[in-house]
Amino acid sequence: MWNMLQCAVQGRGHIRENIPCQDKTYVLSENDVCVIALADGAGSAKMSHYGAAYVTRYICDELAGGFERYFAEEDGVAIKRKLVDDLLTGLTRVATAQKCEVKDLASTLLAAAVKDGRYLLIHIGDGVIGYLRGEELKVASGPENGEFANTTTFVTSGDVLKTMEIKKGNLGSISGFALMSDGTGSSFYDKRDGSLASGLKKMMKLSRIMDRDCLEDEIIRSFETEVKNHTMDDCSLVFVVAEDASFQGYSSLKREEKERLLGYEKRRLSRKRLQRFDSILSYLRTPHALCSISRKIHLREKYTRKYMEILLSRHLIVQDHGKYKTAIIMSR
Amino acid sequence: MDHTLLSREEDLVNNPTARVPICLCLDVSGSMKGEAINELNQGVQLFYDAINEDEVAKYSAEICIVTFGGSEGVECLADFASMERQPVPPVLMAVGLTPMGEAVNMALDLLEKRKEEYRSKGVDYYQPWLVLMTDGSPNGSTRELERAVQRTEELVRAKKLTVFPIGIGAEADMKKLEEFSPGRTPLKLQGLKFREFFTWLSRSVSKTSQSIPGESVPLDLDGIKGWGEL
Repeated sequence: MWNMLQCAVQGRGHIRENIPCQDKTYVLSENDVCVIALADGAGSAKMSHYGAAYVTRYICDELAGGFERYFAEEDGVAIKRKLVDDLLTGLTRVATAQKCEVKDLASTLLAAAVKDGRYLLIHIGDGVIGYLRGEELKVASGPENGEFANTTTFVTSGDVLKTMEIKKGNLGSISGFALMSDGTGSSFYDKRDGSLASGLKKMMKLSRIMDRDCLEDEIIRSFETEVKNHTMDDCSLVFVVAEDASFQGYSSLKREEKERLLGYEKRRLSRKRLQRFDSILSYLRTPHALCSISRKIHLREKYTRKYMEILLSRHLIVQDHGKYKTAIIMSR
Repeated sequence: MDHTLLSREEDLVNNPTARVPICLCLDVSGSMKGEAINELNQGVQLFYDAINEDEVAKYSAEICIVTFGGSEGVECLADFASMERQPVPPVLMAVGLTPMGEAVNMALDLLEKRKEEYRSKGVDYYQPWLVLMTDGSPNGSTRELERAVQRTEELVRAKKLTVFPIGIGAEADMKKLEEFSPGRTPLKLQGLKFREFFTWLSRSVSKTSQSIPGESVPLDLDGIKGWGEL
């Protein structure tokens, strides 16, 4: 089983110009294939959000339906040609419907598909594809930017086949893939050494233990408050991470596993304190304010607040509109 | 304390701002003496001030000033650096001849060197700009002048450089300037409207510094009408 999460936020430049978010993401789980896709609409193409939405859906449908065929095909150039031809045919239909030209729908395209221990990757233009192998987060495919900062290749570019990347292989110890747009890359991809920021690994690993909707909300909040301040561009991220079959929820964890999650690896957590953490997490399956939690665990608010700070810093709970809510999966 | 998933410093990387390299290649020969050099100095100062006041351009623009004329013949008065490192422009003095070819070659060499530094340090950059201003005819080495024209033309045709050739006054050799600019006719400054030109230039730098991949930044030709003649 795989977890898929996605997020796309409008950049500061587009907010100022009143242009919609041109980054689009799409995920699909079908025929035992999990596919994630991301497209970054060209800034100068005013209808590029339609193009980006189309190409992400197309590639997810195509890879979910034809994973075995694509994986078996040895001729990479033939695959590139087929995908680009199909994408352009589809974009021509979209252009007719939107009464614009195909170049007005220009966007990048990144996709990752996994099935039965194998993967397929597609990359056109800028943005980054990362992968998680064990504890290491590495770059599978870097940005194709051309020489200058505001240039890249798009699905609609004449030279798209020259720079388009496709990769396939066995997963082995790879447990996840992440796709990010150029805007997100400003925060997660270090252009100096080609490394990826630890925050991305943190989010991917949290997806194994954190409630999906909760994590997605938190990622969007982080993008709105942190990531988009590093760029004028739209920011998007989508990732697919293998579930940890051994994690059956917080309630099933052994004492030392709970201690590790709560950040008590090096200091002792008393039985009484652990019980309080357990009670809080259980109680917060439905959102509550601090005063209610304080009453529930029979502890004064100022001391209860310290428990909440620890749980928040470990991302085991989240806070929204003055109420706290459990974020970690309690039981599967 | 507001906890977000990415609020720790190590959660995100801090990439350097993409740079807009701008080289001002300026004629400071003896004929620029008097009002012309004063107006040019004020125009360059205004350009620096405008870039400094722009939240994005301030960290993105890198200005280099190469002069031809002066006591040294050709001189780099300010090498490519951010406004933080060189917030004040050098003062230009009018004296000497007009070795334009030598100056353009120096500007292009400095530009290549800077681009190499950007690449080695993982710094993104936009297409560089070269502003070439003169009030006369080049009178340095003919060979250097031909080499400068050829290099500039090749870069412009390959879309690796944007050139703004500007003629000042009636004696400016517009034909020679034209050779530096395939595709765009050189502009003749109306009177000594340096300030208007540099205001326009700083706005264009500001727009470019905020552009994103795939976004072409068209030059505001209406804005040029205020200070130049086509």
